[in-house]
Amino acid sequence: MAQRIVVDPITRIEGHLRIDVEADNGRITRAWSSGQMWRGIEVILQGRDPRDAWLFTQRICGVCTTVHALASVRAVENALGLEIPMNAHYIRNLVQALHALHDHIVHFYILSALDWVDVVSALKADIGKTVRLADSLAEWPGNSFNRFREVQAKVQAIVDSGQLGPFANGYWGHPAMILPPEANLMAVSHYLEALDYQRKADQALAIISGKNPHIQNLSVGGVTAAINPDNEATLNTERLYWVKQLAEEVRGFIHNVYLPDVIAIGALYKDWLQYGAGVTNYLAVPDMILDTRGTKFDLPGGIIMNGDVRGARAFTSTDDPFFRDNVAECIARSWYSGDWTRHPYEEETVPDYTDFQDNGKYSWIKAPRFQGEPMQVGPLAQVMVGYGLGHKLTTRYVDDALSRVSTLAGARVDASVLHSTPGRHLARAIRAAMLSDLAIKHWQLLMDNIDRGDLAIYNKPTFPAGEQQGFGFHEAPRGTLSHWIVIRDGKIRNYQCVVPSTWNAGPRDSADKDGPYEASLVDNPIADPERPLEVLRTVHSFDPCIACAVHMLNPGGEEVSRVKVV
Amino acid sequence: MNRTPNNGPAARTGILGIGNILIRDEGFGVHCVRQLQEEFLVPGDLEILDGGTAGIMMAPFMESVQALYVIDTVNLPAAPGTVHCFSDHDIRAGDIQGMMSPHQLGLLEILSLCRLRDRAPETVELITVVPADLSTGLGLSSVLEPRIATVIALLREKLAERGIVLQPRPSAVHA
Repeated sequence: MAQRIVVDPITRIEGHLRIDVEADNGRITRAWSSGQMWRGIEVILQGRDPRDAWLFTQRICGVCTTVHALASVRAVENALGLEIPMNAHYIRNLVQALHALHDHIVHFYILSALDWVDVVSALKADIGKTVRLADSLAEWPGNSFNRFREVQAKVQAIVDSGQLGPFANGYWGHPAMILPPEANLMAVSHYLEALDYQRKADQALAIISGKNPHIQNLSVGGVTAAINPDNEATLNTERLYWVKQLAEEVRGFIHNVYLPDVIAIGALYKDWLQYGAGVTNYLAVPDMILDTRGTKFDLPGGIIMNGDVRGARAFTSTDDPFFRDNVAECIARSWYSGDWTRHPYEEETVPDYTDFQDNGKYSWIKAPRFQGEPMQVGPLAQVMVGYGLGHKLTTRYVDDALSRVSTLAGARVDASVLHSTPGRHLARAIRAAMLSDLAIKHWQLLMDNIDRGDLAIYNKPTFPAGEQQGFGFHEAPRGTLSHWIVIRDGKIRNYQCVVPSTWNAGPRDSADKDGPYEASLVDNPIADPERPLEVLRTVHSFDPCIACAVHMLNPGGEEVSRVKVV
Repeated sequence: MNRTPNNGPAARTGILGIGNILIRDEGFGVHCVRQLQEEFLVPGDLEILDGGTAGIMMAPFMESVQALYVIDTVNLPAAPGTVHCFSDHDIRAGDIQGMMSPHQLGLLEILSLCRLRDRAPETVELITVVPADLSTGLGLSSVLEPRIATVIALLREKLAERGIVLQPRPSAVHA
């Protein structure tokens, strides 16, 4: 007999996402993803100076501040046809990479590792065996007997105190937790170390961007961080070398801890490689820009339809009409007035709340579509598109990771296993490894350019009379982000943010096609309806943060229970 | 470049304003720290951060101070504009868990992460106000606008007890 399970809220960070699933015989048969808060940024921006938009958009979300700032200035520059100096691109690329490294480390260890790692089980680990396990995966100073013994004692103290703190909400002892105690202990130790390394990425970002959590060095037309190798008040040589040192330390953690951990978890949970694929249309935009015209990139973007990875089609510039003309949002199942599907330039935002209607409207999130189809976005989309297009860096990392998973799992796996819940984690770790290499590369590109005497950082924007439209995209940690702006006589006439979690967490559309979260949950196992760990695993693998999709507090403010079986 | 919590020596006392300035009164904490920085000279042993709704990014700041004051809104069954202080003890006891805004819960989680690393501030105090208007928009409601001065006065008293005196900026002295 079918059971309805409601998980509300599902995010461990900002935002408010509700997931409903129907389960029958231990399998999920149907799912609904619902944003429970209303978005309203567009309303605030109308009538304002386009040069100020990024200052507001970076307040949409506390986790993704930087990405909204970047997409916003790019949208205005696109509307004006304004090129920016190479130094500004390199600095923005560094900002982008450092922010993403911070974000990916936090997402894996703090926000989702505990779906797979049983902290309490770590108490049963044999320390010597834990060292041998860790040594078999990678060399890392933190993988020592003394360190693991200390961490085990710390976990013991927490369990004895009865105050589990950040571990309080875990599903300890759940039948779907299958890692050996030694793997759990190693992972808990890395969880604690991750806090240091996310901080180093954050610190490097603060040095280059003026301030965290809200960066200050952007401007429509470039960046505002003056470069002068010898001036203490500017971005000088000393500060730049400090950034490089921090970036290298973070790179070490990603290559020797994060990536090996995810490879090991993917191999140990190999049964899960069959779950969670969902929508296998993928969308990613190119980023890490390499020329002033925005036609060369260090990370490729494009689309894949119906899992046809080799048929990937690329986006070739920041002004590519193939991207611009094919994005639309549908509100047939969302709490807005009407049932239209419109291009972002043409959208309006008029709320129309009904109750949660299984077959009607049930979410504050709109349903974005590309050529009318739902698309999965995020690191997996980017890695798949790069792999499909034969991008060298992506191919090298993917093939290496798959070969290591195969060795550990004792069975050969190919790239098809990436269409899965653990595949999303693996792709994120691969993307982090690529970005950690590219951060160093773009640091060097910046230094070389400065050495050649180019200190330009800004081209002044001018706003002609009449109307201009523009879009700016950015491949953010959670996937493709695009801002769309209509400017009239120098003021914002319309502004829409089509954000990664909207692509992934959006509801069905007028053709009744599931959004990616919904599709990915269908056919997932569910061992215990009261403790739906499997639902959390799949949804958390997308790195949900819907504060940007919808960010208002629920005016009703009703009590919500975390899990409800009805 | 601005001074950030990430460089320079560890400060002893921190003031953290949190909230979302796009949701009117939700942004109260941010408006408070902005006004504080505009009106007063900030001594070297005091760090002030506009944390927005930043979650984990606030951790380094929280780990760099011995005493932390957090300014935020709170969802309490009291009249809008009511100012209420919570002590570290209230937080540890879990009395207020579930009563705060979404990012507030994030704050408590982050504090517990800092504790796990033995790097939490020795004392944490939350100075909160009950919001009147949580609609989309900028700027505070007329109920909360005057509460900025109330909270700043309260904060100056608390800082004075710790031997930190905030002097008005010369340009900010009003007739």
